[in-house]
Amino acid sequence: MIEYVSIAAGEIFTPSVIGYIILGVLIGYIVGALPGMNRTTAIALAIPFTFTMPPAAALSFLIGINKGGAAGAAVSAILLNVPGEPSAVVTTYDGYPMTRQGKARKALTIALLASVAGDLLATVTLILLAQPVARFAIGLGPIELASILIFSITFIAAVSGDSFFKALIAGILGLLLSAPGIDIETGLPRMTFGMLELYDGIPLLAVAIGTLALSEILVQIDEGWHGDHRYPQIADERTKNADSGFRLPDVARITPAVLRGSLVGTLVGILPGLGATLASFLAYTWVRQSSKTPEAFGKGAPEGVAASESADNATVPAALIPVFAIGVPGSLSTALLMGAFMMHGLTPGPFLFKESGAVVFAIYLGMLLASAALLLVGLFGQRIFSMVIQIRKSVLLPVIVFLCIVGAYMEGGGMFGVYLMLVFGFVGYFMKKFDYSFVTFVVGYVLGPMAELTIRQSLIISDSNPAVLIDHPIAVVFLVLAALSIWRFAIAGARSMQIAPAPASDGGDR
Amino acid sequence: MRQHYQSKSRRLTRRAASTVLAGTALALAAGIGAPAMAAEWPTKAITIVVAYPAGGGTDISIRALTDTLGEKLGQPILVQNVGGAGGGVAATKVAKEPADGYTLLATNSTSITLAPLVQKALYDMDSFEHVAIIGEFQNAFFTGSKQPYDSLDGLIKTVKAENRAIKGASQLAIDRLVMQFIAKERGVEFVPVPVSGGSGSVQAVMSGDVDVAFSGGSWAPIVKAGDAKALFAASYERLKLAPDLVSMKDLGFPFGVTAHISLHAPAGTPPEVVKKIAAALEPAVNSEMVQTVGQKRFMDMTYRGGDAAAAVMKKERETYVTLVKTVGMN
Repeated sequence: MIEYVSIAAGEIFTPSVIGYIILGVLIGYIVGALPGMNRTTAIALAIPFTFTMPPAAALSFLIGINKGGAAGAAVSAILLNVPGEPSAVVTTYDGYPMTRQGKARKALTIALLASVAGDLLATVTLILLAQPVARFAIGLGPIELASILIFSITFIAAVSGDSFFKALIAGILGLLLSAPGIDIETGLPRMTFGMLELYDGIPLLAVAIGTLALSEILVQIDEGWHGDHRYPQIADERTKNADSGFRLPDVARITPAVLRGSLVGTLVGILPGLGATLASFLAYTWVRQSSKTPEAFGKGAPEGVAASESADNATVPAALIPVFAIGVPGSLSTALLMGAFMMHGLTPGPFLFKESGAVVFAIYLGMLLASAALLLVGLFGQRIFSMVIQIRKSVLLPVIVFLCIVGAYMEGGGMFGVYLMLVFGFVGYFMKKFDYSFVTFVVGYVLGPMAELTIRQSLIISDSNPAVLIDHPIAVVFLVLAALSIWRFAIAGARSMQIAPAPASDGGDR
Repeated sequence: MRQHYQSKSRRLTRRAASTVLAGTALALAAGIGAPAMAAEWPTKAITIVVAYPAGGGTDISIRALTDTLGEKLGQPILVQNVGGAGGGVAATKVAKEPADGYTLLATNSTSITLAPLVQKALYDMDSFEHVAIIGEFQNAFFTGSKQPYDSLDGLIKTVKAENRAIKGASQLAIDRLVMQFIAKERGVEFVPVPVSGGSGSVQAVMSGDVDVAFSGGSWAPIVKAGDAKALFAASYERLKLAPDLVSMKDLGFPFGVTAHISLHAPAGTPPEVVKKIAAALEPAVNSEMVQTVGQKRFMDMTYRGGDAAAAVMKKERETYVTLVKTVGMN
């Protein structure tokens, strides 16, 4: 063990390897911060460049991109209300209001600290507990995953805020978006209208860029901007606002949220296919529900930013746990990383440690170093990035639109993705105007395909016999929780309807 | 080209110009122009459209060979990933490109041979010149280590004794067809459980939810680790990288299936151009880089070009036609 550590340290603590790690984090951070650019694509494109690097350096570099991307996505979410990636959508809830209140620097610092903390906690979990945790996770089959997803979907109602039914409508619209595509059971195309581009379903990233980024540009154009740079700037952090800077007491304030976020992020990250968007969404909802002042959320609560960002970043190392321990990737980006492992002669799985212990230690050290690099890059980067809110919007907005188009082209299969992005930009614009929650919309379409797959798998495996649940206690727990949450949120929703101005018709016998 | 003629014609009299142009048109019509064009080819960068997202087996092997290929052809090679519909989107796109050899398709051969048979496709076998086969996936069926059987016969015996259907993780039309065929031959039912990707198969097997799964290579590491048992290779002959595993031939089946990594050009690409690409591909596939990639990613990177490639594609098509006919459209 000790000798591994010294070999590993010798391999990692060289100027070139440290340079690669910082470079990786930096690339990820920039790609994450730019709306439309996606960290998974960045990793895929970077893999060929790592062929010639030593294994530990190559993998730390690639994992660094992933870590940087998860943290960077918060920057544009906070400053511009444009999440750099779908997983940062919840960060806009409280991050952007903080910017409007002149607390941009504070929000960025909280997001960064939460990201690093979540990242570090999940990395330590990976190092210490990879084997037992992964063994447990792999035992969770489609039936457990389906019940977790059903439980998660009920949370859509929890973030509804003031307009319960509108949030529900948006969430269900999101779910419906996952309907087109090849039917997974019969293999026949479904609602594709004969368009080959729809055979794999609607390219979600193109939709995300449209609804999250482009729609916000349209709203900002609409909000009284007429090409006049004298339009009142959002108060920046230089105005001496009492609560604008990050102070020591803030650490104590956000710590519970960070711990909760890291826990949720780690758990969701380990499970295959659930992903960072769900993690940040669940963490945010949990922290809000357990807060003494839930009404402050959505109006610039630092805890909201901390919860969502720590969960987002915790999924990155956590998703590597099944890869390291049993060699099963749970997402596209971890599948790419597993490919990179194999390129360098490392076979992920139980033998990884026995066969190449020194390299694994080196990768662990590299990952910890990447966490440190993230702090460094983040502190430096947010100074530069926070200047963007002082850029004239007539310069800034076209650049973002350009990035949106490039991103949609890359992620959505060519011009088809761009058209789709434009359409959903307008859909998102009207959703924002009419106060339909686009967060529940995003969560709906992120969860849709996964929920459909696991639910249908469960039905086939169990021969549609509910008795199978007796053998799956974890699934039962989540289904009961789902029922409780439906009950609770339905009552809350009904109450919110009573407070709202009474609708013209009281339903009657329709 | 066109600009060249135009500038030339400007210096000539009108009549002479029209003669030159008519002559050129005649020459082109007679097919004399084509070899001239082929002799100069390539004069600009060549795009290889990879039919899957970046990072997959097909993508990695293509990216590994672009350096050598570009060097041999004297032009840069651009790689473009156009994922979707299991390769269908890219195939449709490339089939519509001009047949000049500047746009090539790198895909999994089943998207050309099998997909048009089982789903509505805007292309078919004839839409492409089959330039070369650059490698093959090591497809096999495998099961979890906790299952009581370790062969196909054992699996059949188990499900017959328990009077139930075989449940198999299915990610593609190809594994579904083969298992349905086997089940029919051996007199049992087969129920496909849809999964997404090779990792979905591995996960379903390891959690013990399915009896059998199919993958192109992700089975190898977990079998080595003892978390799964390989049952049989899906290919007719034994796999090059796993020669101890029984194959479809050993089990007495008249065929097997192999997914190849193949390179195609739009139909009508001049044969000289196709030959030129193929000739440059051979050393590229045999380069150290590609061979290392194959070894690490558990793919057999063996080059087959020209008639050999066309023959493999034709045989593959015949196998799938028989399979689809036997099993019936699902």
